[in-house]
Amino acid sequence: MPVPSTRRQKFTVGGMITSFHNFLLADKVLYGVLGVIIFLVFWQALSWIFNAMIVASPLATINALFALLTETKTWEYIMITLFRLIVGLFLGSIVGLLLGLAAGTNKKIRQVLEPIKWTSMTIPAIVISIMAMLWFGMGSEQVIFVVIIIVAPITYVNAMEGRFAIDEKLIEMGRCFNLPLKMFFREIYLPGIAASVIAGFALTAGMGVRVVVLAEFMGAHDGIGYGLSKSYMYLDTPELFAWILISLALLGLLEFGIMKPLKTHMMRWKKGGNLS
Amino acid sequence: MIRFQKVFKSFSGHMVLNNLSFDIETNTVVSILGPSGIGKTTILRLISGAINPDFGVVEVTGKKIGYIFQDPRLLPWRTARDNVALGLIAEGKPKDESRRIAAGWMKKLDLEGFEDYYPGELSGGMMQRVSIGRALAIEPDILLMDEPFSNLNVELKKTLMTMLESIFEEYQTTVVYVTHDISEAVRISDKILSILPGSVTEEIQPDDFQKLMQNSCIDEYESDLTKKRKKEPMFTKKVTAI
Ligand SMILES: Nc1ncnc2c1ncn2[C@@H]1O[C@H](COP(=O)(O)OP(=O)(O)OP(=O)(O)O)[C@@H](O)[C@H]1O
Ligand SMILES: [Mg+2]
Repeated sequence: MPVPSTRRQKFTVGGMITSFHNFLLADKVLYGVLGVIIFLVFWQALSWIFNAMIVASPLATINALFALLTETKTWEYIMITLFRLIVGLFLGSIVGLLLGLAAGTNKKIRQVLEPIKWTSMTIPAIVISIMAMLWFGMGSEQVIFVVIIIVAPITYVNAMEGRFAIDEKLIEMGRCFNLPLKMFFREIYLPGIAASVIAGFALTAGMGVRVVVLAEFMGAHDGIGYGLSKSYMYLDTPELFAWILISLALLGLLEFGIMKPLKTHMMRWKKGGNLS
Repeated sequence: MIRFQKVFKSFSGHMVLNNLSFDIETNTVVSILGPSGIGKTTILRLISGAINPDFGVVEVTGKKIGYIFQDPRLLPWRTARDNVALGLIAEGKPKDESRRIAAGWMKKLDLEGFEDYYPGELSGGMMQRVSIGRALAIEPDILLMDEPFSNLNVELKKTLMTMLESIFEEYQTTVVYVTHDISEAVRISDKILSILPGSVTEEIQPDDFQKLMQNSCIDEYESDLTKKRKKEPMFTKKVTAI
Protein backbone atom coordinates (compact mmCIF):
# COMPACT_ATOMS: atom_id res chain seq x y z
CA MET A 1 0.00 0.00 0.00
CA PRO A 2 1.27 3.54 -0.66
CA VAL A 3 1.94 4.83 2.80
CA PRO A 4 0.09 8.04 3.64
CA SER A 5 2.86 10.11 5.13
CA THR A 6 2.52 12.80 7.71
CA ARG A 7 5.65 14.48 6.52
CA ARG A 8 5.48 16.14 3.17
CA GLN A 9 7.21 14.00 0.59
CA LYS A 10 8.73 15.18 -2.61
CA PHE A 11 6.69 13.91 -5.49
CA THR A 12 9.09 12.19 -7.85
CA VAL A 13 8.73 9.64 -10.59
CA GLY A 14 11.24 7.43 -8.78
CA GLY A 15 9.20 7.71 -5.61
CA MET A 16 6.05 6.84 -7.49
CA ILE A 17 7.62 3.78 -9.02
CA THR A 18 8.93 2.72 -5.63
CA SER A 19 5.56 3.04 -3.96
CA PHE A 20 3.85 1.24 -6.83
CA HIS A 21 6.48 -1.45 -6.50
CA ASN A 22 5.90 -1.73 -2.75
CA PHE A 23 2.20 -1.88 -3.42
CA LEU A 24 2.67 -4.85 -5.69
CA LEU A 25 5.15 -6.54 -3.38
CA ALA A 26 2.75 -6.09 -0.49
CA ASP A 27 0.47 -8.47 -2.31
CA LYS A 28 2.49 -11.23 -3.92
CA VAL A 29 -0.69 -12.86 -5.20
CA LEU A 30 -1.16 -9.91 -7.50
CA TYR A 31 1.88 -10.85 -9.53
CA GLY A 32 0.58 -14.38 -9.86
CA VAL A 33 -2.81 -13.17 -11.05
CA LEU A 34 -1.06 -10.86 -13.48
CA GLY A 35 0.91 -13.81 -14.84
CA VAL A 36 -2.22 -15.91 -15.30
CA ILE A 37 -3.99 -13.06 -17.10
CA ILE A 38 -1.05 -12.51 -19.46
CA PHE A 39 -0.92 -16.26 -20.09
CA LEU A 40 -4.66 -16.44 -20.86
CA VAL A 41 -4.59 -13.41 -23.14
CA PHE A 42 -1.63 -14.86 -25.02
CA TRP A 43 -3.35 -18.22 -25.31
CA GLN A 44 -6.61 -16.67 -26.54
CA ALA A 45 -4.69 -14.63 -29.09
CA LEU A 46 -2.91 -17.73 -30.36
CA SER A 47 -6.19 -19.61 -30.71
CA TRP A 48 -7.53 -16.73 -32.83
CA ILE A 49 -4.48 -16.75 -35.04
CA PHE A 50 -4.25 -20.50 -35.51
CA ASN A 51 -6.69 -23.18 -36.55
CA ALA A 52 -8.69 -24.72 -33.69
CA MET A 53 -7.02 -28.05 -34.54
CA ILE A 54 -3.64 -26.58 -33.68
CA VAL A 55 -4.47 -24.37 -30.70
CA ALA A 56 -7.64 -25.01 -28.74
CA SER A 57 -9.19 -21.88 -27.24
CA PRO A 58 -9.25 -21.53 -23.45
CA LEU A 59 -13.02 -21.98 -23.44
CA ALA A 60 -12.95 -25.18 -25.51
CA THR A 61 -10.20 -26.50 -23.24
CA ILE A 62 -12.18 -25.78 -20.09
CA ASN A 63 -15.19 -27.57 -21.59
CA ALA A 64 -13.04 -30.58 -22.49
CA LEU A 65 -11.54 -30.51 -19.01
CA PHE A 66 -14.94 -30.70 -17.34
CA ALA A 67 -15.97 -33.48 -19.65
CA LEU A 68 -12.82 -35.39 -18.75
CA LEU A 69 -13.26 -34.84 -15.04
CA THR A 70 -16.72 -36.41 -15.07
CA GLU A 71 -15.21 -39.71 -16.21
CA THR A 72 -13.87 -42.08 -13.56
CA LYS A 73 -11.15 -43.20 -15.99
CA THR A 74 -9.63 -39.73 -15.80
CA TRP A 75 -9.37 -39.89 -12.02
CA GLU A 76 -7.88 -43.35 -12.24
CA TYR A 77 -5.28 -42.05 -14.66
CA ILE A 78 -4.49 -39.11 -12.41
CA MET A 79 -4.03 -41.38 -9.41
CA ILE A 80 -1.81 -43.78 -11.35
CA THR A 81 0.38 -40.97 -12.65
CA LEU A 82 0.56 -39.42 -9.21
CA PHE A 83 1.64 -42.76 -7.76
CA ARG A 84 4.37 -43.25 -10.36
CA LEU A 85 5.51 -39.68 -9.92
CA ILE A 86 5.77 -39.88 -6.15
CA VAL A 87 7.49 -43.26 -6.15
CA GLY A 88 9.92 -42.14 -8.86
CA LEU A 89 10.66 -38.82 -7.19
CA PHE A 90 11.12 -40.50 -3.83
CA LEU A 91 13.44 -43.25 -5.03
CA GLY A 92 15.34 -40.90 -7.34
CA SER A 93 15.82 -38.41 -4.52
CA ILE A 94 17.04 -41.09 -2.11
CA VAL A 95 19.53 -42.45 -4.65
CA GLY A 96 20.74 -38.94 -5.55
CA LEU A 97 20.94 -37.91 -1.92
CA LEU A 98 23.02 -40.86 -0.74
CA LEU A 99 25.36 -40.81 -3.72
CA GLY A 100 25.66 -37.01 -3.51
CA LEU A 101 26.57 -37.21 0.16
CA ALA A 102 29.12 -39.92 -0.50
CA ALA A 103 30.60 -38.02 -3.44
CA GLY A 104 30.71 -34.79 -1.45
CA THR A 105 32.60 -36.52 1.33
CA ASN A 106 34.96 -38.69 -0.71
CA LYS A 107 36.82 -37.45 -3.75
CA LYS A 108 37.36 -40.94 -5.18
CA ILE A 109 33.66 -41.75 -5.08
CA ARG A 110 33.02 -38.41 -6.77
CA GLN A 111 35.43 -39.21 -9.57
CA VAL A 112 33.88 -42.61 -10.12
CA LEU A 113 30.38 -41.16 -10.26
CA GLU A 114 31.20 -38.20 -12.47
CA PRO A 115 30.93 -40.03 -15.84
CA ILE A 116 27.69 -41.69 -14.75
CA LYS A 117 26.30 -38.32 -13.77
CA TRP A 118 27.19 -36.81 -17.14
CA THR A 119 25.75 -39.74 -19.05
CA SER A 120 22.46 -39.73 -17.23
CA MET A 121 22.23 -35.98 -17.49
CA THR A 122 22.77 -35.84 -21.24
CA ILE A 123 20.83 -38.87 -22.52
CA PRO A 124 17.42 -37.59 -23.66
CA ALA A 125 14.51 -38.78 -21.55
CA ILE A 126 12.93 -40.33 -24.62
CA VAL A 127 15.95 -42.57 -25.19
CA ILE A 128 15.86 -43.68 -21.57
CA SER A 129 12.17 -44.41 -21.96
CA ILE A 130 12.74 -46.54 -25.07
CA MET A 131 15.49 -48.52 -23.37
CA ALA A 132 13.37 -48.91 -20.25
CA MET A 133 10.56 -50.30 -22.40
CA LEU A 134 12.96 -52.91 -23.74
CA TRP A 135 13.98 -53.92 -20.24
CA PHE A 136 10.75 -53.57 -18.28
CA GLY A 137 8.05 -53.65 -20.96
CA MET A 138 5.12 -51.23 -20.93
CA GLY A 139 3.81 -49.96 -17.60
CA SER A 140 4.70 -48.59 -14.20
CA GLU A 141 8.20 -50.06 -13.82
CA GLN A 142 9.29 -48.44 -17.05
CA VAL A 143 7.82 -45.06 -16.11
CA ILE A 144 9.21 -45.08 -12.58
CA PHE A 145 12.64 -46.10 -13.85
CA VAL A 146 12.74 -43.14 -16.24
CA VAL A 147 11.74 -40.73 -13.49
CA ILE A 148 14.48 -42.10 -11.22
CA ILE A 149 17.15 -41.76 -13.89
CA ILE A 150 16.14 -38.19 -14.64
CA VAL A 151 15.67 -37.08 -11.03
CA ALA A 152 18.65 -38.75 -9.33
CA PRO A 153 21.44 -36.71 -10.97
CA ILE A 154 19.76 -33.41 -10.10
CA THR A 155 19.40 -34.37 -6.46
CA TYR A 156 22.90 -35.80 -6.57
CA VAL A 157 24.40 -32.49 -7.64
CA ASN A 158 22.41 -30.54 -5.07
CA ALA A 159 23.28 -32.95 -2.27
CA MET A 160 26.95 -32.77 -3.20
CA GLU A 161 26.91 -28.97 -3.23
CA GLY A 162 25.13 -29.04 0.11
CA ARG A 163 27.74 -31.37 1.52
CA PHE A 164 30.51 -29.00 0.41
CA ALA A 165 28.72 -26.18 2.19
CA ILE A 166 28.66 -27.95 5.56
CA ASP A 167 31.14 -26.30 7.91
CA GLU A 168 34.05 -28.68 8.53
CA LYS A 169 34.13 -27.38 12.08
CA LEU A 170 30.72 -28.90 12.73
CA ILE A 171 32.01 -32.22 11.50
CA GLU A 172 35.04 -31.94 13.77
CA MET A 173 32.64 -31.18 16.62
CA GLY A 174 30.67 -34.30 15.77
CA ARG A 175 33.80 -36.40 15.85
CA CYS A 176 34.93 -34.92 19.17
CA PHE A 177 31.58 -35.83 20.70
CA ASN A 178 31.79 -39.32 19.22
CA LEU A 179 28.58 -39.15 17.23
CA PRO A 180 27.78 -42.56 15.77
CA LEU A 181 27.29 -42.67 12.00
CA LYS A 182 23.52 -42.64 12.31
CA MET A 183 23.64 -39.42 14.29
CA PHE A 184 26.12 -37.89 11.88
CA PHE A 185 23.47 -38.36 9.20
CA ARG A 186 20.53 -37.19 11.22
CA GLU A 187 22.17 -34.34 13.09
CA ILE A 188 24.72 -32.98 10.64
CA TYR A 189 24.64 -34.27 7.07
CA LEU A 190 20.93 -34.35 6.30
CA PRO A 191 19.99 -31.01 7.88
CA GLY A 192 23.18 -29.56 6.41
CA ILE A 193 22.32 -30.45 2.83
CA ALA A 194 18.56 -29.89 3.24
CA ALA A 195 18.64 -26.27 2.08
CA SER A 196 20.27 -26.95 -1.25
CA VAL A 197 18.40 -30.21 -1.89
CA ILE A 198 15.05 -28.60 -1.14
CA ALA A 199 15.91 -25.62 -3.33
CA GLY A 200 16.39 -28.15 -6.12
CA PHE A 201 13.05 -29.82 -5.44
CA ALA A 202 11.10 -27.27 -7.49
CA LEU A 203 13.20 -28.18 -10.50
CA THR A 204 13.07 -31.88 -9.69
CA ALA A 205 9.30 -31.93 -9.35
CA GLY A 206 8.83 -30.08 -12.64
CA MET A 207 11.20 -32.47 -14.39
CA GLY A 208 9.39 -35.39 -12.79
CA VAL A 209 6.01 -34.31 -14.13
CA ARG A 210 7.36 -33.78 -17.62
CA VAL A 211 9.17 -37.07 -17.68
CA VAL A 212 6.37 -39.14 -16.18
CA VAL A 213 3.98 -37.85 -18.84
CA LEU A 214 6.52 -38.51 -21.56
CA ALA A 215 7.24 -42.04 -20.39
CA GLU A 216 3.52 -42.80 -20.17
CA PHE A 217 2.98 -41.32 -23.60
CA MET A 218 5.64 -43.68 -24.93
CA GLY A 219 4.94 -46.86 -23.09
CA ALA A 220 1.97 -47.26 -20.79
CA HIS A 221 -1.66 -48.27 -21.05
CA ASP A 222 -2.87 -45.81 -18.45
CA GLY A 223 -1.96 -42.52 -16.80
CA ILE A 224 -2.10 -38.90 -17.88
CA GLY A 225 0.50 -39.44 -20.60
CA TYR A 226 -1.57 -42.25 -22.06
CA GLY A 227 -4.67 -40.03 -22.02
CA LEU A 228 -2.64 -37.42 -23.81
CA SER A 229 -1.50 -39.87 -26.45
CA LYS A 230 -5.08 -40.95 -27.08
CA SER A 231 -6.33 -37.41 -27.58
CA TYR A 232 -3.36 -36.87 -29.85
CA MET A 233 -4.27 -39.93 -31.90
CA TYR A 234 -7.88 -38.76 -32.30
CA LEU A 235 -6.66 -35.23 -32.96
CA ASP A 236 -8.86 -34.01 -30.12
CA THR A 237 -6.96 -30.80 -29.46
CA PRO A 238 -9.19 -29.37 -26.66
CA GLU A 239 -8.84 -32.65 -24.75
CA LEU A 240 -5.11 -32.67 -25.34
CA PHE A 241 -4.89 -29.19 -23.87
CA ALA A 242 -7.09 -30.30 -20.98
CA TRP A 243 -4.62 -33.08 -20.17
CA ILE A 244 -1.85 -30.52 -20.13
CA LEU A 245 -3.84 -28.47 -17.62
CA ILE A 246 -4.23 -31.60 -15.51
CA SER A 247 -0.49 -32.24 -15.45
CA LEU A 248 -0.01 -28.61 -14.47
CA ALA A 249 -2.39 -29.14 -11.58
CA LEU A 250 -0.39 -32.23 -10.63
CA LEU A 251 2.75 -30.12 -10.38
CA GLY A 252 0.87 -27.60 -8.24
CA LEU A 253 -0.29 -30.41 -5.99
CA LEU A 254 3.28 -31.64 -5.54
CA GLU A 255 4.59 -28.18 -4.89
CA PHE A 256 1.99 -27.12 -2.35
CA GLY A 257 1.02 -30.50 -0.97
CA ILE A 258 4.48 -32.00 -0.41
CA MET A 259 7.40 -29.72 -1.21
CA LYS A 260 6.28 -26.54 0.55
CA PRO A 261 5.28 -28.23 3.84
CA LEU A 262 8.49 -30.25 3.76
CA LYS A 263 10.54 -27.12 3.23
CA THR A 264 8.76 -25.26 6.02
CA HIS A 265 9.38 -28.18 8.33
CA MET A 266 13.02 -28.72 7.47
CA MET A 267 13.96 -25.06 7.47
CA ARG A 268 11.96 -24.02 10.53
CA TRP A 269 15.19 -23.24 12.41
CA LYS A 270 16.02 -20.52 9.93
CA LYS A 271 13.09 -18.22 10.38
CA GLY A 272 13.70 -15.30 12.67
CA GLY A 273 17.39 -16.00 13.23
CA ASN A 274 19.46 -13.00 14.29
CA LEU A 275 22.27 -14.03 11.93
CA SER A 276 24.99 -12.79 14.27
CA MET B 1 47.53 -37.95 31.96
CA ILE B 2 48.22 -35.92 28.85
CA ARG B 3 51.72 -36.09 27.48
CA PHE B 4 53.21 -34.32 24.46
CA GLN B 5 56.58 -35.71 23.44
CA LYS B 6 58.54 -33.86 20.79
CA VAL B 7 55.40 -32.99 18.88
CA PHE B 8 55.66 -31.37 15.46
CA LYS B 9 52.67 -30.06 13.57
CA SER B 10 52.51 -27.93 10.47
CA PHE B 11 49.67 -26.80 8.25
CA SER B 12 50.46 -26.66 4.55
CA GLY B 13 54.15 -26.08 5.14
CA HIS B 14 53.56 -23.60 7.93
CA MET B 15 55.22 -24.95 11.08
CA VAL B 16 53.03 -24.34 14.09
CA LEU B 17 54.24 -26.71 16.77
CA ASN B 18 57.95 -27.28 16.67
CA ASN B 19 59.23 -29.93 19.05
CA LEU B 20 56.70 -29.29 21.78
CA SER B 21 56.83 -31.33 24.97
CA PHE B 22 54.87 -31.08 28.19
CA ASP B 23 52.97 -33.18 30.71
CA ILE B 24 49.60 -32.61 32.31
CA GLU B 25 48.86 -34.73 35.37
CA THR B 26 45.49 -36.38 35.80
CA ASN B 27 42.95 -34.37 37.78
CA THR B 28 44.84 -31.12 37.58
CA VAL B 29 43.76 -27.86 36.06
CA VAL B 30 46.32 -26.49 33.66
CA SER B 31 46.05 -23.17 31.88
CA ILE B 32 47.73 -22.54 28.58
CA LEU B 33 48.81 -18.99 27.95
CA GLY B 34 50.37 -17.69 24.82
CA PRO B 35 50.12 -15.10 22.10
CA SER B 36 47.54 -15.35 19.38
CA GLY B 37 48.45 -17.74 16.60
CA ILE B 38 51.05 -19.59 18.66
CA GLY B 39 49.17 -22.89 18.40
CA LYS B 40 47.01 -23.15 21.53
CA THR B 41 43.94 -24.32 19.67
CA THR B 42 46.15 -26.72 17.72
CA ILE B 43 47.27 -28.25 21.01
CA LEU B 44 43.66 -28.81 22.08
CA ARG B 45 42.79 -30.34 18.72
CA LEU B 46 45.71 -32.72 19.06
CA ILE B 47 44.53 -33.75 22.53
CA SER B 48 40.97 -34.25 21.30
CA GLY B 49 42.19 -36.45 18.46
CA ALA B 50 40.66 -34.22 15.80
CA ILE B 51 44.10 -33.99 14.19
CA ASN B 52 47.28 -36.03 14.48
CA PRO B 53 50.84 -34.80 14.97
CA ASP B 54 53.26 -34.91 12.02
CA PHE B 55 55.94 -36.28 14.33
CA GLY B 56 56.12 -37.04 17.99
CA VAL B 57 53.72 -38.59 20.43
CA VAL B 58 50.50 -37.30 21.90
CA GLU B 59 49.45 -39.51 24.77
CA VAL B 60 46.04 -39.05 26.31
CA THR B 61 44.77 -41.28 29.08
CA GLY B 62 41.13 -40.74 29.82
CA LYS B 63 37.70 -42.04 29.06
CA LYS B 64 35.76 -39.10 27.85
CA ILE B 65 36.74 -35.73 26.45
CA GLY B 66 34.54 -32.66 26.63
CA TYR B 67 35.57 -29.87 24.30
CA ILE B 68 34.46 -26.26 24.53
CA PHE B 69 35.56 -24.86 21.20
CA GLN B 70 36.78 -21.33 20.64
CA ASP B 71 33.61 -20.70 18.61
CA PRO B 72 30.30 -22.18 19.83
CA ARG B 73 29.94 -24.69 16.97
CA LEU B 74 26.30 -25.40 17.65
CA LEU B 75 24.05 -27.23 15.24
CA PRO B 76 22.01 -24.34 13.82
CA TRP B 77 19.06 -26.64 13.10
CA ARG B 78 18.75 -27.97 16.63
CA THR B 79 17.31 -26.19 19.64
CA ALA B 80 19.58 -25.05 22.45
CA ARG B 81 18.47 -27.98 24.60
CA ASP B 82 19.07 -30.54 21.88
CA ASN B 83 22.52 -29.05 21.32
CA VAL B 84 23.34 -29.50 25.00
CA ALA B 85 21.94 -33.04 24.87
CA LEU B 86 23.96 -34.00 21.78
CA GLY B 87 26.85 -35.71 23.55
CA LEU B 88 24.51 -37.57 25.90
CA ILE B 89 22.44 -38.96 23.05
CA ALA B 90 25.66 -39.92 21.27
CA GLU B 91 26.59 -41.94 24.36
CA GLY B 92 23.39 -43.88 23.91
CA LYS B 93 21.36 -42.29 26.69
CA PRO B 94 17.62 -42.22 25.98
CA LYS B 95 16.44 -38.98 24.41
CA ASP B 96 14.05 -38.00 27.18
CA GLU B 97 16.64 -38.45 29.86
CA SER B 98 19.27 -36.61 27.82
CA ARG B 99 16.94 -33.69 27.30
CA ARG B 100 16.11 -33.58 31.00
CA ILE B 101 19.77 -33.54 31.96
CA ALA B 102 20.41 -30.91 29.29
CA ALA B 103 17.65 -28.70 30.70
CA GLY B 104 19.28 -29.01 34.13
CA TRP B 105 22.59 -27.77 32.74
CA MET B 106 20.88 -24.93 30.96
CA LYS B 107 19.41 -23.84 34.24
CA LYS B 108 22.83 -23.86 35.86
CA LEU B 109 24.16 -21.79 32.99
CA ASP B 110 21.43 -19.20 33.42
CA LEU B 111 19.74 -20.21 30.17
CA GLU B 112 16.42 -21.22 31.64
CA GLY B 113 13.55 -20.35 29.31
CA PHE B 114 15.68 -20.59 26.19
CA GLU B 115 15.51 -24.37 25.83
CA ASP B 116 13.52 -24.27 22.61
CA TYR B 117 15.41 -21.43 20.97
CA TYR B 118 17.51 -22.14 17.92
CA PRO B 119 21.14 -20.94 18.04
CA GLY B 120 20.33 -18.26 15.46
CA GLU B 121 17.92 -16.78 17.97
CA LEU B 122 20.49 -16.57 20.79
CA SER B 123 23.12 -13.95 21.56
CA GLY B 124 26.82 -14.73 21.18
CA GLY B 125 27.30 -15.17 24.92
CA MET B 126 24.27 -17.43 25.16
CA MET B 127 25.54 -19.63 22.34
CA GLN B 128 28.83 -19.88 24.15
CA ARG B 129 27.06 -21.03 27.29
CA VAL B 130 25.13 -23.63 25.31
CA SER B 131 28.48 -24.87 24.04
CA ILE B 132 29.80 -24.98 27.63
CA GLY B 133 26.70 -26.93 28.67
CA ARG B 134 27.19 -29.42 25.85
CA ALA B 135 30.73 -30.19 27.02
CA LEU B 136 29.88 -30.35 30.73
CA ALA B 137 26.73 -32.43 30.28
CA ILE B 138 28.66 -35.55 29.38
CA GLU B 139 30.66 -35.25 32.62
CA PRO B 140 34.02 -35.63 30.90
CA ASP B 141 37.14 -36.68 32.73
CA ILE B 142 39.15 -34.48 30.41
CA LEU B 143 37.79 -31.03 29.72
CA LEU B 144 39.30 -28.87 26.98
CA MET B 145 38.34 -25.23 27.14
CA ASP B 146 39.36 -22.76 24.44
CA GLU B 147 38.71 -19.29 25.80
CA PRO B 148 35.20 -20.22 26.85
CA PHE B 149 34.42 -16.89 28.47
CA SER B 150 35.64 -14.53 25.79
CA ASN B 151 32.13 -13.39 24.92
CA LEU B 152 30.76 -13.00 28.42
CA ASN B 153 30.52 -10.04 30.76
CA VAL B 154 32.47 -9.91 34.01
CA GLU B 155 29.54 -10.85 36.23
CA LEU B 156 28.65 -13.94 34.27
CA LYS B 157 32.28 -14.90 33.93
CA LYS B 158 32.69 -14.85 37.72
CA THR B 159 29.57 -16.93 38.27
CA LEU B 160 30.64 -19.50 35.71
CA MET B 161 34.19 -19.67 37.05
CA THR B 162 32.86 -20.39 40.52
CA MET B 163 30.56 -23.02 39.08
CA LEU B 164 33.38 -24.64 37.14
CA GLU B 165 35.63 -24.70 40.17
CA SER B 166 33.03 -26.57 42.16
CA ILE B 167 32.49 -28.96 39.24
CA PHE B 168 36.22 -29.64 39.00
CA GLU B 169 36.22 -30.51 42.68
CA GLU B 170 33.07 -32.59 42.58
CA TYR B 171 33.95 -34.64 39.52
CA GLN B 172 37.51 -35.72 39.01
CA THR B 173 38.46 -33.77 35.95
CA THR B 174 41.62 -32.98 34.07
CA VAL B 175 41.22 -29.53 32.65
CA VAL B 176 43.17 -27.85 29.90
CA TYR B 177 42.18 -24.24 29.85
CA VAL B 178 43.32 -21.89 27.09
CA THR B 179 43.05 -18.23 27.97
CA HIS B 180 44.53 -14.81 27.46
CA ASP B 181 43.52 -13.71 30.92
CA ILE B 182 46.30 -14.22 33.45
CA SER B 183 44.11 -13.52 36.46
CA GLU B 184 41.68 -16.23 35.35
CA ALA B 185 44.56 -18.62 34.87
CA VAL B 186 45.98 -17.85 38.31
CA ARG B 187 42.60 -18.32 39.90
CA ILE B 188 41.68 -21.72 38.65
CA SER B 189 44.82 -23.53 37.68
CA ASP B 190 47.27 -25.80 39.44
CA LYS B 191 49.86 -25.07 36.81
CA ILE B 192 50.24 -22.54 34.03
CA LEU B 193 51.85 -23.52 30.78
CA SER B 194 53.17 -20.57 28.88
CA ILE B 195 53.82 -21.23 25.21
CA LEU B 196 56.39 -19.00 23.62
CA PRO B 197 57.54 -18.64 20.04
CA GLY B 198 59.38 -21.71 18.90
CA SER B 199 57.13 -23.99 20.93
CA VAL B 200 59.19 -23.19 23.98
CA THR B 201 57.13 -23.98 27.00
CA GLU B 202 57.51 -22.61 30.43
CA GLU B 203 55.78 -24.05 33.44
CA ILE B 204 54.71 -21.45 35.90
CA GLN B 205 53.23 -22.03 39.33
CA PRO B 206 50.21 -19.80 39.80
CA ASP B 207 51.84 -18.14 42.82
CA ASP B 208 55.08 -17.38 41.03
CA PHE B 209 54.26 -13.75 40.48
CA GLN B 210 57.63 -12.77 39.19
CA LYS B 211 57.43 -15.15 36.30
CA LEU B 212 53.85 -14.23 35.66
CA MET B 213 54.84 -10.60 35.44
CA GLN B 214 57.51 -11.55 32.96
CA ASN B 215 54.91 -13.32 30.89
CA SER B 216 52.12 -10.88 31.46
CA CYS B 217 52.52 -9.27 28.09
CA ILE B 218 53.01 -12.38 26.03
CA ASP B 219 50.10 -11.33 23.92
CA GLU B 220 52.07 -8.41 22.64
CA TYR B 221 55.26 -10.43 22.31
CA GLU B 222 56.79 -8.14 24.85
CA SER B 223 57.95 -10.50 27.52
CA ASP B 224 61.68 -10.32 28.03
CA LEU B 225 61.88 -14.03 27.66
CA THR B 226 60.04 -13.92 24.37
CA LYS B 227 62.34 -11.24 23.02
CA LYS B 228 65.35 -13.20 24.09
CA ARG B 229 64.09 -16.35 22.43
CA LYS B 230 63.34 -14.53 19.24
CA LYS B 231 66.92 -13.36 19.02
CA GLU B 232 68.30 -16.80 19.40
CA PRO B 233 68.83 -18.19 15.91
CA MET B 234 68.35 -21.72 17.13
CA PHE B 235 64.64 -21.05 17.47
CA THR B 236 63.93 -18.40 14.93
CA LYS B 237 65.50 -20.43 12.22
CA LYS B 238 63.41 -23.48 12.85
CA VAL B 239 60.21 -21.63 13.43
CA THR B 240 59.88 -19.75 10.23
CA ALA B 241 56.23 -19.09 10.85
CA ILE B 242 56.78 -17.20 14.05
N1 LIG C 1 43.59 -25.87 9.43
C1 LIG C 1 44.62 -24.99 9.32
N2 LIG C 1 45.14 -24.73 8.12
C2 LIG C 1 46.16 -23.86 8.01
N3 LIG C 1 46.71 -23.21 9.03
C3 LIG C 1 46.23 -23.43 10.25
C4 LIG C 1 45.14 -24.32 10.47
N4 LIG C 1 44.88 -24.34 11.78
C5 LIG C 1 45.73 -23.50 12.35
N5 LIG C 1 46.57 -22.95 11.45
C6 LIG C 1 47.66 -21.99 11.74
O1 LIG C 1 48.29 -22.43 12.89
C7 LIG C 1 48.65 -21.34 13.71
C8 LIG C 1 48.17 -21.59 15.12
O2 LIG C 1 46.76 -21.61 15.13
P1 LIG C 1 45.95 -21.80 16.46
O3 LIG C 1 44.52 -21.69 16.10
O4 LIG C 1 46.38 -23.03 17.14
O5 LIG C 1 46.41 -20.51 17.30
P2 LIG C 1 45.94 -20.05 18.73
O6 LIG C 1 47.13 -20.04 19.61
O7 LIG C 1 44.78 -20.83 19.18
O8 LIG C 1 45.52 -18.54 18.45
P3 LIG C 1 44.33 -17.69 19.12
O9 LIG C 1 44.77 -17.29 20.47
O10 LIG C 1 44.23 -16.49 18.22
O11 LIG C 1 43.11 -18.53 19.10
C9 LIG C 1 48.09 -20.09 13.07
O12 LIG C 1 49.15 -19.41 12.46
C10 LIG C 1 47.13 -20.61 12.04
O13 LIG C 1 47.18 -19.82 10.90
MG1 LIG D 1 42.80 -20.50 19.31
